[in-house]
Amino acid sequence: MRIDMLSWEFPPRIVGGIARHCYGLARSLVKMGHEVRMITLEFPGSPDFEYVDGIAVHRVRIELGHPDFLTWVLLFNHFMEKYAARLNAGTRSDVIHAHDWLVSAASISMKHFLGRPLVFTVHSTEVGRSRGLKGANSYTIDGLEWWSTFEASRVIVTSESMRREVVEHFRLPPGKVHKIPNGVDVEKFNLEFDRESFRSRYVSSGERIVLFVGRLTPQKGVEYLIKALPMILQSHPEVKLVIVGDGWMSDDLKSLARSTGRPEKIYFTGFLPEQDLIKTLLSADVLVVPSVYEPFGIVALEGMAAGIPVVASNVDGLSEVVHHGRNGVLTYPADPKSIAWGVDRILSDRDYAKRLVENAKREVFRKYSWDAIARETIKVYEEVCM
Amino acid sequence: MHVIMTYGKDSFDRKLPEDFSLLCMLSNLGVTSRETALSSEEIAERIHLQTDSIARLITKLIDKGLVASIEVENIEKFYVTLDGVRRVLTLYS
Repeated sequence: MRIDMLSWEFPPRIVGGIARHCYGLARSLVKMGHEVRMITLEFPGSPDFEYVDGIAVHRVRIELGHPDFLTWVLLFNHFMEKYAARLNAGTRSDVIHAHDWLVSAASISMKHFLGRPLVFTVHSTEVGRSRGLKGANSYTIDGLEWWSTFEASRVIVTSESMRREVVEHFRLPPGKVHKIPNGVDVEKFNLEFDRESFRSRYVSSGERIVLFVGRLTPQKGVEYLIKALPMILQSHPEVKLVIVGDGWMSDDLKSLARSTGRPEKIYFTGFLPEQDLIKTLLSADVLVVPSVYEPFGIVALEGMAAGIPVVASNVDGLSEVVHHGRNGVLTYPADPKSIAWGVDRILSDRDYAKRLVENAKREVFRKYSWDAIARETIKVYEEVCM
Repeated sequence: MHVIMTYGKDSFDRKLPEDFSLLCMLSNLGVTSRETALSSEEIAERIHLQTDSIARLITKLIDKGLVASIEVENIEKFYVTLDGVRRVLTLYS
């Protein structure tokens, strides 16, 4: 089968989980003998076209920009459409698979000018990300999301909570929506390196790493983890909080860190390249995922695959991946006291933490391999192509 | 005694910092390389903002490593760095 996949992000253009999802899924589809053409956007330093693990990656140039965000999105969709039309003039795809609203306009046009079925994956919704629709842009984005779910032959979501959300919010027939979870590449965590030497980047001997990985945005709830730190330090003075990632809240979160009175106990790494991120995950003592909205939470899976205990908010898709007391610890969202309790539960009982990690690793291997996810996705493609 | 800073009722309702908004506009305009760099006046024209406001915000962005400057025919021009592009992208996912 030949699949044209559209995503505004693909490595090294990594914004959130979508880039990792597209890479993992496309690589497994190629391994299974399918042809994947990834149509994505340009990124400084990356070639316009290359093969990555057998995936034909086409990076579309944005020939005209605009300061307004939505105008810019619609413009780059036009350039994606133009590129896809040229690409399909040679060999036509069998199915179009689009990821999130940022590529809605291009993928819907492709469906109509190619006469091929469209599959649309909703990774998150505007109403969820923004906690309601706020302002003109928010309503337009919500409209684009609805439009895509309407035009698509099948809609894929990564969790039950997202299935409920899209069925209720977009009024979709439940049978149109398929749940296929995110996956994780467990092999990338089989890495040999000097852990102690790497840890010394962040902590001194005897200190323990409480890790956060993600975008520094309200959705991710980092502020609540920072507020939890003074409470954690009361019972575990050896702890240091390492915050990996970048985002527009970066400056405010650094101010918040200073206001705890223990800024020396909080280390902001900024953006990390993939290999350093893997090493950081493998070096941590506990991973905290304090999101207040999280349709899936791929970072929790990565923590589980890396073999570190995970403390996560009891929200949305996260609570479908992390099961309290079995493969991790769940805490109340937006609640620093609860986060502090969760971290203490892990750090105070090594046997308990070890049991959680063993269970988590087993589940990750069983349920979240990209090959299994690709097989499920192919079933959806076959349904829409019949 | 230290008082932990709060964001008010809900950080989801916070306005984006001014310098970050400018960074997003520059990135959306495609000002992301030395070849596409623009001067303060050119930026002001394209986004309808006073040149002195642009200069103030650009200085902040340069200090953070999110924007860089080059001199072209004795005119100072600016473009978004790779770190700046990454920072912008965190807004949208």
